[in-house]
Amino acid sequence: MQIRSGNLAVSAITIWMGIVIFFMILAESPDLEILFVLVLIGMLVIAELADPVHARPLFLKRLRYIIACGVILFGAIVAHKVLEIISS
Amino acid sequence: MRRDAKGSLPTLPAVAVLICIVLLLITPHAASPVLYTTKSDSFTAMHDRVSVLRQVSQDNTGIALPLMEEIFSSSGTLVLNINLRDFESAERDLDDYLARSRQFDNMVVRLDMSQSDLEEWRRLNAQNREDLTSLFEDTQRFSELKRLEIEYRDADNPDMLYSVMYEGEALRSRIKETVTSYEGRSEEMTGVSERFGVETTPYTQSVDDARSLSVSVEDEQEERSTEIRRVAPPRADRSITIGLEPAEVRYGDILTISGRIIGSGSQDVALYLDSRLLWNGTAASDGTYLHRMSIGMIRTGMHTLYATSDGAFSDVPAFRVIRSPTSLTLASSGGGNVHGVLLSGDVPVRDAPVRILSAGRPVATLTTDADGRFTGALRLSEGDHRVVAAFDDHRYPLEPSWSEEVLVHVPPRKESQGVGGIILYPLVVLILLASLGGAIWYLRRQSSPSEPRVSVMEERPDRTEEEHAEDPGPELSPPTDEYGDPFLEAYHAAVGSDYPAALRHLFISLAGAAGLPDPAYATVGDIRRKQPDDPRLHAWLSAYERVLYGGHTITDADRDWFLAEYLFLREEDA
Repeated sequence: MQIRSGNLAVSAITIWMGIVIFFMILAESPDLEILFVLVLIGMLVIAELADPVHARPLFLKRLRYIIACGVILFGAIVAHKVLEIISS
Repeated sequence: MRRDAKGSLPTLPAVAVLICIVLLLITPHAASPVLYTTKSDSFTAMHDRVSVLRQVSQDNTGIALPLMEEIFSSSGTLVLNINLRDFESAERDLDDYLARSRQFDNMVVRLDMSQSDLEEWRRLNAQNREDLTSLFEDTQRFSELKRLEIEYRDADNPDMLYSVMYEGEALRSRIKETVTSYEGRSEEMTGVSERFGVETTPYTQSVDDARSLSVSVEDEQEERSTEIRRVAPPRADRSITIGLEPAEVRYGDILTISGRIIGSGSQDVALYLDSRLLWNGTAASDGTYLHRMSIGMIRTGMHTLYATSDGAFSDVPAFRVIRSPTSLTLASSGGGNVHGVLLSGDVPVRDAPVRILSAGRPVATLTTDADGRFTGALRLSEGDHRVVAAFDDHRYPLEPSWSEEVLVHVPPRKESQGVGGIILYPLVVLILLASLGGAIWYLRRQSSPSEPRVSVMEERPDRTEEEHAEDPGPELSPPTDEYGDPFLEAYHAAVGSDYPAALRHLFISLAGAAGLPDPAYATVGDIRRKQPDDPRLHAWLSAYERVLYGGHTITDADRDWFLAEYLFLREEDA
């Protein structure tokens, strides 16, 4: 059976997310912010690894838009943290 | 159909991400579901499911059991080292023992095991803890007296020699009392422990060691008293008496100490409580003295007192401090502050430390005032927290007590004003702009110069034109625009510098011609599936794959073939 690279990337992201959640549960400290940042890093790595030199698969185009949204969200989290630190 | 299948692909990561987030969110509540717990499975609040509660109790015991054995083990080595007079090791053991005991206490509170037999074990262990702490301190001091005795005998100082003797007497009495208390509890403690299946051998061994320690201290003190009385006989012309009232006191009571100096000389009197100076005063002209002592921070059990005046020493009477129960209340004052009262019966407990615990962890230690009241802010994060107050200071003759659990709401902190507030908002805006810029840069970065920036329906972008205009290159073929084909123009522009990239322009053109909706993202397989019956197109695509992915070296003849075939295929489509 032929496996499309898009499916491979989705599987890799899901497995990575599963690993992160597993260790969070193990450490008894589930944290959505940390989960988000780690998944974003995972997406960035997978997008770089799955990116061919000349071809441009459609799933990567969509993944890049998701990552771009993630970067903006990451900025919002950093801003929130800065607010927390300064207000404390 | 195929397009439908492709269109459903992006939902897969979204569903996976959603499932993972939902799993993460419900995980903290999985252990204690709100709708149903084994404890809450009863029809009315008036009855419990005994089998379930027993199961819960056994589960909790499973967590506590190793800690109980560690506490016994620590107490065993602690008493052994005290008996061997190895106080350095004993101090380490005591720290270890106290830390584990406190850990156990917090666990009982945190897991709400106060209704089970563990509470009984915790209570007995708290008393053992006081006894062992007292035993360590008293034995250490008793050992120091040996050095002091030699020192004062060498200095020929009979007053201080008597002081050493009396202090030794006081310590002997207290050690005996402590050991009796520790020993008297052993049967009950062993019984409770065996109910849980805890190994009690180290504990029973520690009781035996404590007993032999008490005997050796008795012998040593007897020897010391005889020797000091022989070396420095007491003064015959002067004496001092002492009396205590009442013999048993509780927290908040007044202990009256009085006596009389008989004989001539100084009227100064010093009272020593447990060999430590309690009061310095002067007797009246008839030689009588009186001191009233309020029972406050003093340990439970026997205490000794003696008076001294100008070389005369009194007897060493003892009094007992009895432990009193306490009651502790806690309430939220709003804004993350709490207040409460600590009472022993009707008597307020003053200057006592009250620990505030949230989920078993101390978040503040507040001190009571003269009315037993305490108030203060808690170091908690924003949101709702369940906290309890605990009083368990063994320096007081008071039983430990815990308050009811109280819900404390910590409001969001106000943002800082002034200079911090002024730079705050620009900083936040800057961070958001930076992240927006980062996202745009990321999307643009992906479009490398080697990749096409045109679609089938669009004109070739300016950038490619500029590159072409600025860097024509000697090897570039002259632009051919005879078909008005922007891809062909792009091909000629790139062919001198990066042939695979140039070839990619032709590939995109063919993908568009094949009717694929998004040619820039099409693959060779997509075109093949779209036009399965075109052998020339397939041959071109195979050669294209060899160049792009196989790394084949390109000759001029190959280049001409690629171009010629491309033109043919385009003409065919047209």
